[in-house]
Amino acid sequence: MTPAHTSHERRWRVAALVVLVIAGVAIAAGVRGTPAPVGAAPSPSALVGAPDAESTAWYCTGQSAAGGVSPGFLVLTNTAPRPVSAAITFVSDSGATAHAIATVPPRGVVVPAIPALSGSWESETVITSGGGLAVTQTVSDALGWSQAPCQSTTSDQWYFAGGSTAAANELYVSLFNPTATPVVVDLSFVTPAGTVHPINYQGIVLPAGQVAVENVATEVQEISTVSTIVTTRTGRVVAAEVQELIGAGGTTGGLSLVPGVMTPQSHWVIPQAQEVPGGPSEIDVFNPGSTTESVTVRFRLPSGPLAPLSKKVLPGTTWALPASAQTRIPDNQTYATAIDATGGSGVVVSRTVGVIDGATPPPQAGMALAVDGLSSAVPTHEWVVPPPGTSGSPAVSGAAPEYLALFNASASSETYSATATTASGNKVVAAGTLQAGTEVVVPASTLAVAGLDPIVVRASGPLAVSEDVGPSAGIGMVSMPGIPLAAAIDA
Amino acid sequence: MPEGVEAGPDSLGPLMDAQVPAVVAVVVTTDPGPWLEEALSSLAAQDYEELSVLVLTTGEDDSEVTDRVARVLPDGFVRHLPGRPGYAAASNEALGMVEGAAFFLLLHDDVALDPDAVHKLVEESFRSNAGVVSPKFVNWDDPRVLLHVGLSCDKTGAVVDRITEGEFDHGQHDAVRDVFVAPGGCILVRADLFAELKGFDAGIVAMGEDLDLSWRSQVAGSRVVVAPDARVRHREVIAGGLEPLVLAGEPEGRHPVTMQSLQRRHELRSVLKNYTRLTLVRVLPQAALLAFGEVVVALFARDRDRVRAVSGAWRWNFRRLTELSKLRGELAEHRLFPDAEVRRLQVRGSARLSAYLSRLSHHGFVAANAVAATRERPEDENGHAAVAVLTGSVGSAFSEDADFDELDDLGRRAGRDRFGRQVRTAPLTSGRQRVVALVIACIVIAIGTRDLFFGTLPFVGQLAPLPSWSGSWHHFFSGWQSSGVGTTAPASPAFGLIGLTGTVLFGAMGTLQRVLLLGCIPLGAWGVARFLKPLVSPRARVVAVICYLGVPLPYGALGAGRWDGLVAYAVFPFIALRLARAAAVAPYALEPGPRWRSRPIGQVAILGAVIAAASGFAPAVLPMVLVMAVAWVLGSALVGAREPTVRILVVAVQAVVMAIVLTLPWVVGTALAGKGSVAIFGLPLSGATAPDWGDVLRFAVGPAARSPIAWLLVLAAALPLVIARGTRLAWASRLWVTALASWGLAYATTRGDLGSFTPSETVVLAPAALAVAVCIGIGIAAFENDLSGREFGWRQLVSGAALVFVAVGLLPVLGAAAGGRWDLPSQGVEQPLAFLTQPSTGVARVLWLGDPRALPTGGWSVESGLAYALTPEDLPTSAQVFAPAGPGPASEVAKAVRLAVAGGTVHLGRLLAPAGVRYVVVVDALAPSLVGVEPASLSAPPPAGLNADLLHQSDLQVVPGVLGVQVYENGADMPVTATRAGGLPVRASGYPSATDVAGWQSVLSALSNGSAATGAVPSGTLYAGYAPAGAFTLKVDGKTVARQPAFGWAAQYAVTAKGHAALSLSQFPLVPLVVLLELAAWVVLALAVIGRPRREREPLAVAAPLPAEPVRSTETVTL
Repeated sequence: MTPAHTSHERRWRVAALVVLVIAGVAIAAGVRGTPAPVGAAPSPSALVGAPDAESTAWYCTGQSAAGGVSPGFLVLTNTAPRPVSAAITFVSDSGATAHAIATVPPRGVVVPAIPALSGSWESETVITSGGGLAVTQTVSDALGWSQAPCQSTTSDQWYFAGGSTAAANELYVSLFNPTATPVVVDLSFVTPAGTVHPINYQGIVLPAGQVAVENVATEVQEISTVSTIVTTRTGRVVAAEVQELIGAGGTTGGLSLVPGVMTPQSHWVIPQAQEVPGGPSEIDVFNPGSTTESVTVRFRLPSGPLAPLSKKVLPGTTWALPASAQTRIPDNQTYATAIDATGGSGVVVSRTVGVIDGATPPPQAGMALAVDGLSSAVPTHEWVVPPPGTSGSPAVSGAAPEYLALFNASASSETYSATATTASGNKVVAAGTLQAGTEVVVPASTLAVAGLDPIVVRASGPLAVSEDVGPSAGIGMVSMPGIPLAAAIDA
Repeated sequence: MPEGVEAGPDSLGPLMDAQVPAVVAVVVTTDPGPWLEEALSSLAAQDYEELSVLVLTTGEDDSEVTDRVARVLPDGFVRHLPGRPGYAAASNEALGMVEGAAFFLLLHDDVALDPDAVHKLVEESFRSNAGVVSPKFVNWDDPRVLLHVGLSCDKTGAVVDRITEGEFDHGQHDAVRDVFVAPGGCILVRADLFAELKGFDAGIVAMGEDLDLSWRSQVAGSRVVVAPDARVRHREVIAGGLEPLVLAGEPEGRHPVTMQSLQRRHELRSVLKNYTRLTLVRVLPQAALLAFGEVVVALFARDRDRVRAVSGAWRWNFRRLTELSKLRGELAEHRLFPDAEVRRLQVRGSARLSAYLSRLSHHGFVAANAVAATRERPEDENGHAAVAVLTGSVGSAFSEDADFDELDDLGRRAGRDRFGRQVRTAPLTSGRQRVVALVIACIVIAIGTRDLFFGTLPFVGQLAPLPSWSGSWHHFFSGWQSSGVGTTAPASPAFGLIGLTGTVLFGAMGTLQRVLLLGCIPLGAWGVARFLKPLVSPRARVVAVICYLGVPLPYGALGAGRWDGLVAYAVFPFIALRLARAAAVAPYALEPGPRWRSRPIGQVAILGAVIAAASGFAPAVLPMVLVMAVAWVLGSALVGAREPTVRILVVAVQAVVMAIVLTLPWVVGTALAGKGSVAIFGLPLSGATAPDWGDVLRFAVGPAARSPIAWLLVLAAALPLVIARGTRLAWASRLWVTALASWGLAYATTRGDLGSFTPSETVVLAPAALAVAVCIGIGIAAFENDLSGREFGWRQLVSGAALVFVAVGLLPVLGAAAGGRWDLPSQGVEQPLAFLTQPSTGVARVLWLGDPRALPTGGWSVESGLAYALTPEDLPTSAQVFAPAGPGPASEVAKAVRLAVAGGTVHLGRLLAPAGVRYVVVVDALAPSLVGVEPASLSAPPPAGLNADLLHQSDLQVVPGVLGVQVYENGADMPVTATRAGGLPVRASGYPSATDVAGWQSVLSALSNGSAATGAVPSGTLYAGYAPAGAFTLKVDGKTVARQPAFGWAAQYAVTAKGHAALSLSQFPLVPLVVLLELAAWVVLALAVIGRPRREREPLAVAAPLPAEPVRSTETVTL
């Protein structure tokens, strides 16, 4: 070693500092990882805006004109303690439009009148002054009725897990462009035989503010389980499916309005279902992603959980799980189902109950979307369950809530309360504590306290909220999920 | 035949004598001084028998001259020429007076020949078969001092001497050789050649006739050689200024004709008539460009004589184009050699430029120009020029060692020792090698930048076009800026600098932008060379300079269109140098001198000025200076260096304070932005798109040169930490701590770890780039010094590896150079957004949204990774690039965007309407990516979901057909200045309703930089969306209309009757006044820095200026 390098100069201090800093920061950076992209967190496709919002919008599609497949109306539910005015624009597939203003009283429900427009199908845009308003729609025909939330956002992709064009079943995809920008839409269908891209459903041009409805059965024929992908080339749309399940003779069956799902998710819950003797039902798990999903389906009876079912769902395929064929699920027994997917970007889940011929009275067939994880895990832990109309404008005769199911989707016990909100005051319908992975079903007798008032559910953690609405002669055919609130409302 | 010996009848002597060629010495004299006799006596003493002397007198007093000649040369001939025809024309008279001469010896009357001079000249003429032969010229009074041994010139006719001024004659030039110019004063020319060429060019009255004759002789096929054995003494009474220049026929003007102006005009004359037309097409533009550059530099140096000489030369010759064309034709009749052959002996490149750059690099601008303007040249006590005499090559900038003595007479290196053996030198130890290395580096940079020299720069990053020179001044002094919805905050001092330089360049703002942008890279390299001068060897400096040029940082900044990064890259070497000097950190020290700038306070002031000027473009420079100072202190402490650490901090703080003082209005305006004022340093990025640690370490912050190989440069920079000692180790420690601080800060800020303090990463990394390059240089120096004479060991191996790392680490930049534009996109937003430049109805604004790096204008932050800017409805200009720190009322726009992103509104268009937003532009990359047209550039997407949120708005409509960016048209917009009949006044605050924004009609013209917005208005409510509303007054038909608030920040006026309205700024001109004071402070500082020496305090250090003297012909090689 040279004298120069044995001198009092403390060169190694600097060298050590350099190595420590560079290596230290590198290790720390590796541990820390890459920050997630900045941006708004994904939100449910139906979300009640905060009361202090300047304005919110709801988009409703899937209704037909009177005399059509699925005539219906809107239900405006105000969760805020102040009146909310809503500007409604009606548009039909013929391009006809109409406008209306509705004012919803504090914690009140309004069913605005639907103007008669030329055309077969209609859609509505509801723009509110301020937030706190939830908008749902009900449709009905001779086969049955259905209720579903409208969408509070647009998207460039929509997914539908279930659907059937078998036998006489009809499946309609309603596309609504509520934006000021024209869009071009492509439809793809996933069948057991593979994915099809009907040429007639490619490049569908939808001008601003216009609606178009495509009958899937004309292009994808005789398929018992059809999953649908709606993709826009430009712009964003709102999509919903109308499913007509028609039994033999065309006198039995059911009508369902199913909103689209914007984002595949890893956690889904069907809070309540029931197998009717002899009735076919299936849970459709659709993997629209590009990687295989490991899907686990867990059934839970009031008495406890059942052995789960698992399956690897390949990309672009649908796992149609015949729930009615599961001997482990007894008939006429209410049960909850949790579906978890790992390994990819998520799945889309819905439940379909087929037509039961021979039963008396025949229960309604139907298709309902499972409660998605985003709706369950909304940060406010508050949901509103709008009623199926008002006493003056019921969805169908005698339509009323029958069961309110709350499923604890968290890993710990959570407290909950269900409150019927009215302008004159709140009425607690139910309250208690739920253990992790368990559910509580509030029966119709208890729900009778609420009548046709909206019910607000509050919890200390994530819950999957779903209300079964009758009459449908069975659980799970007509259901209304709890619509999450973007901001907590005053109790 | 010996004297006194008669030849026999059979002797061949007479025959032989008869074959000795007759030489006629032609001496032209005008009012000769006392030296004439000595000059004539030397002719009388010649040992060449066939020599006749013809004395041609001009001027008056002929008889006295005749008598004087007769006394010395009784056999001489005297002829008087009336008037003052000039030396050339007078000499030509000999052609008609003499017959039978084989040679003419053309002489001045102040030349004394050695006795054998004619003999040797004639002898050499025969031996070399030369048409023109020149002797060796030595000083009249001191024959040891050489004057000329032949001359050369460059392609533009600029004469360059083969010797240096004051060079002693040791026989070093005593070889016979071809030269391009035989200097005037004593020229032996073959009589037939002289006649064929019709003598000198009679149009040249003085200065340059020798160049012209020699040039034409070569064109005619004759050689021009110098025969140094023939020696003459030359008094140079005219060129040396001993006698005044008297010219007949020159028009009387305000400025007398100088030797310099004669030299320049005659050089150009020779060029114009001695080249063929084809060659002129190529050479003349180069000459014009050089002349233009020389004029610009002379203007800077206040050298008016030079300006007049250069510009006058062109005027003078262009008035004689017909004559020149005729002379060119005459020469063509005698042309035997093409220009390519004739140019063989000319100096390559520009002699003047080369010499000037050499002086510039050695002594700086003032000294370099002081040489040119000789009246300012100081002398030492011996009367010699105090400024070093240089060899005239830019390579001498790195040539403190003596190896430049190896240059041959044409500036070429022989490469052999005096015994003819090949000299083998270590790499980069010779000046030539270093010059070659630097030239190669410059070529690489030039190649890499080639596409950016011309054409239009894209609207990318901060590359928006500069405002006009007047616009820049106006913006600088204006009390109102259009940024956002308007602000009275003072503009960035950058506009003052842009205005100043734009004025100097006569408004060539496009050129200015390129000069400022692209000049940063060589400027930074030059700064490193200067910084390292006291610290390392020339070889190490060259390596460090190349490494600084090889760091990816400036090319990343250029490719990303970042002014700030380039400016920081350019100035930090100078900041480091000034800081080291002012703090007297060894081996840096204040250079003693008489001027104020040599004092510590002067150094601090200069450092402060540099920081202030840089921070106008790159505000983050300001805090980084303090970071660097603290890092130096820590670095010193780490290695136990005994340095004035406190002094470093004190100087840095003082300099920063000085910079703040020099930019006080801007600083105050920024500080008034409150906690948002830190946004002036940079806007927060999205952590997801921020560079990772590896990117930061290898300076990969732009699209260019992102290869991981650049890591090797950083590794190589660690060499001095291992092998250096003493001062070098101390500096390596300081610089490494600086680099660590720089890297750490860049990483932390881009990740948002320092909150809203997020200085631009390209600026923050500049000290690290400097540290890496300088440490490599120090490593080389340490290898040369600290390992010298030691046994071979691991340190030598490490050093070798470091050299390999350097070589390989430069490859990314080398590879990136192939593209020609450092990956700067060929087009920015100007292509898809061209429709914004079309005239539209009313005054409106554009809202820009996107990642801070992607916005083509300055802006403010909505949230991390999302910035916004408001500009008038047009493409942005640099006036918007350097935005004030605070958005003012434009923050309402940010609130509206946040509300939309949070899902709190579907009426964003309506919320934006009060600000006059007609279009919302969302950018997601540095430049639009157009398939088949534009490759993908640096991706900088806005937060996910932004476009979805905007599409969700009921009043925003996508503008179709716009590729690469997303543009929304606001369906609820209202003009910035608008009126509507009657109607309720718009609400004072809160969210605007549909009623508030409906029904407005555009009125008034645009309000730009404080000028009034005018136009006819009807009765009703007039809305003005300019802030601050209180600063404006509306007058309708001269009557002031009362103002009421609107939307919380704008103004509305109840106009009761139609009329002509004018909305104008009406506040007290506080900003213009304080900016004026700021400018005055700069002027005072500039005067103090470049002012005269303080003689009364330091008389000994002051060199007395030379008495006024004309420029000598030999000095024409200097610019």
